[in-house]
Amino acid sequence: MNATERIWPWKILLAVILILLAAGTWGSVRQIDYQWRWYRVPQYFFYLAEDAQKIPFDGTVSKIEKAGETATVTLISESSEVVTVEVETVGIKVSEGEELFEDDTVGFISEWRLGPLMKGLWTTIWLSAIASVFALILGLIAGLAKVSKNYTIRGLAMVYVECIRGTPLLVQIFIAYFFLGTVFDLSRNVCGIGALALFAGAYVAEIVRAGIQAIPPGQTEAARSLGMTMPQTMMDIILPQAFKKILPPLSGQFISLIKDSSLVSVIAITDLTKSGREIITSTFATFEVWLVVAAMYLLVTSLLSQVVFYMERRLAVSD
Amino acid sequence: MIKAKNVVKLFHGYGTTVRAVDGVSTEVERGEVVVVIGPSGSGKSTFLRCINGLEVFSEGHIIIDGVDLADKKTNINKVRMEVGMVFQQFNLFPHKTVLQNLTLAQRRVRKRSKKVAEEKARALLEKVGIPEKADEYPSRLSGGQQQRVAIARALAMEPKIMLFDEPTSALDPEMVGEVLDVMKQLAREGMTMVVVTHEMGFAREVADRVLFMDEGKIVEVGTPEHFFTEPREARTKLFLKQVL
Ligand SMILES: Nc1ncnc2c1ncn2[C@@H]1O[C@H](COP(=O)(O)OP(=O)(O)OP(=O)(O)O)[C@@H](O)[C@H]1O
Ligand SMILES: [Mg+2]
Repeated sequence: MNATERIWPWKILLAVILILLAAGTWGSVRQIDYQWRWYRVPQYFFYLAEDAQKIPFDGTVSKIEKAGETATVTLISESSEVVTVEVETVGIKVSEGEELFEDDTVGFISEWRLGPLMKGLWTTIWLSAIASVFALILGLIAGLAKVSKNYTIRGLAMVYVECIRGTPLLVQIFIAYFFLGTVFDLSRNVCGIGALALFAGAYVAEIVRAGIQAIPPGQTEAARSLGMTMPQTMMDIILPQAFKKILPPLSGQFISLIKDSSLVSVIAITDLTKSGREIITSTFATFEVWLVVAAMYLLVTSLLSQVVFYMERRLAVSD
Repeated sequence: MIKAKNVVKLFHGYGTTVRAVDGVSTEVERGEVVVVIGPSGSGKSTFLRCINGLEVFSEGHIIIDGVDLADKKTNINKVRMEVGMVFQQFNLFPHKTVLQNLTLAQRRVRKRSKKVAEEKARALLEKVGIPEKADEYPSRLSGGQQQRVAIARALAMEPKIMLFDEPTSALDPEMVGEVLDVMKQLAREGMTMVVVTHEMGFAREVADRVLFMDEGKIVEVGTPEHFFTEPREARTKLFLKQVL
């Protein structure tokens, strides 16, 4: 018996179910008579910006030198000041000898720029990346504190974790921005990143604690019996083993963090979600934009999953 | 070398207090091999773990080479450098190769250079009979090989005393011999050893003295011959009848 022989019917079933779901959605959308405008979406990824090149004074066009795509226009002011302007040949607005007033358009230079979706994606990525780094540091410290022998240290970590896990992230972001942000005069980015890092840090702390406690006590005993100090034991023996164990839940937490970062749009940080909302107000392509935004989140999170998968395989050598 | 005076270890839990070690006094001379026997739960492991500070005893004194463990000012890590321990479950570091298992503490604690530590490690692997496994991970080794690596790891610190807590109990029978052989060789070389074991053959062959423990107390002390020929206490007789 061959394993591939038995799996293909299930693969087909899966495909059929997915197609049926898609068809069902499609059918329902048809009924509400929604006007799809997919063609409007690409410009929000990249667009060709045309910058008008203007004359800085009242004057005349003394010369136009065309060299293929671009042309150099020489302008002379009434007081004999000379300025040359580079523009694209196609869109030239003036001819030689023409008299112009200050700020009249001479021609255009066009350039590809990142649209709001790409800018929003970039904001989401760096925001999440910085928040992840702080969450990891914070979670490591709080996780170690949770397994500390000292009651006070343990208590502090417990209060932190319970407060964060017991309140909604949205409320935490509001508190960070409207309360802490006002009191300590913090920018919205600092508040957003701080709130995300504090939030994820509490969960990372729990993951780290569980990871440390999952290492058999015999490991600590062996290390200590060799004369190693507790910090040495942590760094060389416990944490490296714990890290391997917690990599899957940790990556899940960071994937959550990327998704949760969409909540910072409520304090007017133009991340991917906020960009999507802004685009909708000008295009009304609600369905398309949200679907595209979802797909972009999915892309980032699945890339992260792939990286983690690769790391897990690398770490599996000693198994 | 080791002087235990009236050592008591209490475990508190859920309203009950267990006197795991209950007033143990004994002395171990330099180069002596002492085997500790006794029924399960009699406090053998706990007593052994008190000797290198893995358990903090509640009362009494343990003096190792003139250093009192009960003294608050004693640096326990310094003591542990001189007291190696081998565990029932090997407790090798699974994320490190055999060689790294042997060099880590040498480098971190003894502050030896990588080169010196590796030379020492390879020499010890040679001694315990598995030089070819230096670059393997512990999970690829048999139980007997793992335990021999664990012994080598403890020896790498050049301890003056070696503690063994049932080093062969987790092994398949065919692997017990290879581990006991390493221990016998160590004993012949004059290492001071305290061994908790059920291997009576080992006790008979290498022990200078046998301690029989029950309910946290040392019930009977004597040479192996004494125990195998004319045990005095009823509890000792009962125990020996069960294990022999
Ligand atoms: N960490 C602990 N917490 C509470 N009680 C403990 C702890 N460790 C040991 N004990 C108790 O102390 C007593 C002595 O245990 P110990 O492990 O020293 O016995 P042992 O002689 O080594 O037995 P075995 O032959 O089964 O290894 C037992 O009653 C045990 O339940
Ligand atoms: Mg025991």
